[in-house]
Amino acid sequence: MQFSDQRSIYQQIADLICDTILAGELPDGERVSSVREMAASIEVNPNTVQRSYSYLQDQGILDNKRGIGYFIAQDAYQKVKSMKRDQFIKEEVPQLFRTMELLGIDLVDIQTLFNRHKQQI
Amino acid sequence: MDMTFRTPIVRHLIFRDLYINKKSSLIFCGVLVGLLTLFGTIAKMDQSNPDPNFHLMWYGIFFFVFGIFQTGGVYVEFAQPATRQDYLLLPASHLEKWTSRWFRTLPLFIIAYTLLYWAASWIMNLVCLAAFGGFYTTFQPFQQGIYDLWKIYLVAHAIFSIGALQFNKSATIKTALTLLILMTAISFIGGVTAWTLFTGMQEDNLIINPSLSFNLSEHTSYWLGQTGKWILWFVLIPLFWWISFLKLNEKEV
Amino acid sequence: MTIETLIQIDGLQFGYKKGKPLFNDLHLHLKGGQIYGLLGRNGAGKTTLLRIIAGLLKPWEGEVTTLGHSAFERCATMLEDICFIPEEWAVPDLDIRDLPRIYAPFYPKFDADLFWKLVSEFELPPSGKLTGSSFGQKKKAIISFGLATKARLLILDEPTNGLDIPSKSRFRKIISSSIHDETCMLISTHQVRDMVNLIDPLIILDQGKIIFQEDLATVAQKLRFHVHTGLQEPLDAWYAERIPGGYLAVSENTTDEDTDVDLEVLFNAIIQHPDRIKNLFNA
Repeated sequence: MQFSDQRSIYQQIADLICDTILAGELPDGERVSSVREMAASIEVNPNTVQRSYSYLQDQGILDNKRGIGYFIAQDAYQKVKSMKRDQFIKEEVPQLFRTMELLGIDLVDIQTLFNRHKQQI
Repeated sequence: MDMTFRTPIVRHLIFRDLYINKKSSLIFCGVLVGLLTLFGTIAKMDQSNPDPNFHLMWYGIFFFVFGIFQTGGVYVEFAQPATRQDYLLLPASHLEKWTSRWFRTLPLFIIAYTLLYWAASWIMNLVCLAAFGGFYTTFQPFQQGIYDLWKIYLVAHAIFSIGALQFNKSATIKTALTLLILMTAISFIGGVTAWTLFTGMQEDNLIINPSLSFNLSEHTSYWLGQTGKWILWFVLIPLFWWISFLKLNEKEV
Repeated sequence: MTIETLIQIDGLQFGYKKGKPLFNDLHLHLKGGQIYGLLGRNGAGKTTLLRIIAGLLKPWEGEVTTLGHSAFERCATMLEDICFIPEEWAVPDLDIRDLPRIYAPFYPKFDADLFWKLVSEFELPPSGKLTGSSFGQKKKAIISFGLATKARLLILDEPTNGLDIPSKSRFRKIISSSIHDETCMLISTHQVRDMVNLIDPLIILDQGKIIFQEDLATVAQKLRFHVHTGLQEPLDAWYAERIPGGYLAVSENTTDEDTDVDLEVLFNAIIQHPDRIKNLFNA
């Protein structure tokens, strides 16, 4: 697995799990791989994976059933979605606006592009 | 100091040594049988009557040559840092490691060598039988001469045990050289001392002047000799072994 | 469960030549459950330090306690729990099948099934002389044996040296699934790229001392690693390295966002500004 720069590894692992949930591959109540299995499959220090899992647990996306393992929490899909929305609005939108300003693109141009995209789908 | 002693671990250590050295052990057996057969055949060609001391002599020569090389090279892995590290990290106490090698070079060596010599002497005799139609001489392991060789070997073993741990590379040769230098030095010092002490005596006769010599009674000199022997066997030899054990404890990579 | 201190070094002084100490007043405490990465320049004494920890060298001064034992005593209980994989392994004239046969009896916790599992994961042939095989094959055999001893302390000196690309990946997988709370791994390496995302915390040895010992979460909290596009070196950078798109820079992290730690950049920054880094981390 290749990691991009910038975001720290534990966040990238958390993102990976969130993306899998959003893609519908991990339904509520599904067991996720153990810290050790995950660490081995992506060749990462288990302590880092542990940190990602704890983070997701704090966000209410994972449930830790002691002695059994980690499971996808109730309504994880909704939580991930709203978390991602927040992230999009807080991080990606301002970035987009900055680029638009820099390149002289206004909202109308974006609207046209968006409509064309919709039609293609 | 960790004095853990587990017999099974000592057994595993000996087994490991023998297993790793199986090639050189086979070579040693082959060389012994080959040389003995050669010397026996030559002797048989020269003399029709067997030399009564033939086996005692060759048993002794091979015994000391192989024994000293075996003892001096018993820590052969110390020649290189990588192999030294491997052996030092083997999970066994120093006592177990030391004992395994002591056992291999002393009791095990004596028994194995004697059996092997006995077998080799039979091979030699069979060759003689085939070539000349008669035995040359048979080997008698249970005799005073053999026991005396064993006793002397103890002294050599004790000395070369220290050498094996003192020198990392070619320990046997270095130990032998050191011994030679030491002995020359001691006899030289002894000679000089004697010469300065008794310099007033007749020329070309440096033997202790009878008037100066201690007049020991037969009884006293007997006890002096006995004490000397006891010190050698029960103090000096164990002390040397102990020193070699301490040296193993202090060995670094 | 409390996590034990497995290695404790206090006030260590050591050198090879009299009057020329390599280490002076070196302190190092290592806990279980971690994969420590020991970094340092050539000649900094990484291998020497590993050997002192394993009891192979006698310290001039100071206390070295490994797994609760004075290291240089090399008692059997300590050695049973240490697996030291040297950079170059002197293989005796053995077959791979001899490893469990000849060496396993010395390791009470040895797991033969695990050994064969690792041998097949590394795609090693299940029989055949070790002496004849390549450097990398030997290394894989000894790593498999070492992990199968289930020793609590694993010391790996340049473990990826000699491994081919697929084996490096298998090595990382095997290492990351082998660490437990009661075990500790200490990996010395020049090849940080081989060990990326695996070694954490980092230990940096320089000029006879441990100049840095932190886990990467703390590093990410204090330092920011970012790509700076532009032709000029970023002004706030403590250290910057030229990359095709601009500069890979490290500067103080004033946000609460974590960035991915680049080990090589971090190492160079620490070596160049040891005091500045020390002040930041001790604050």
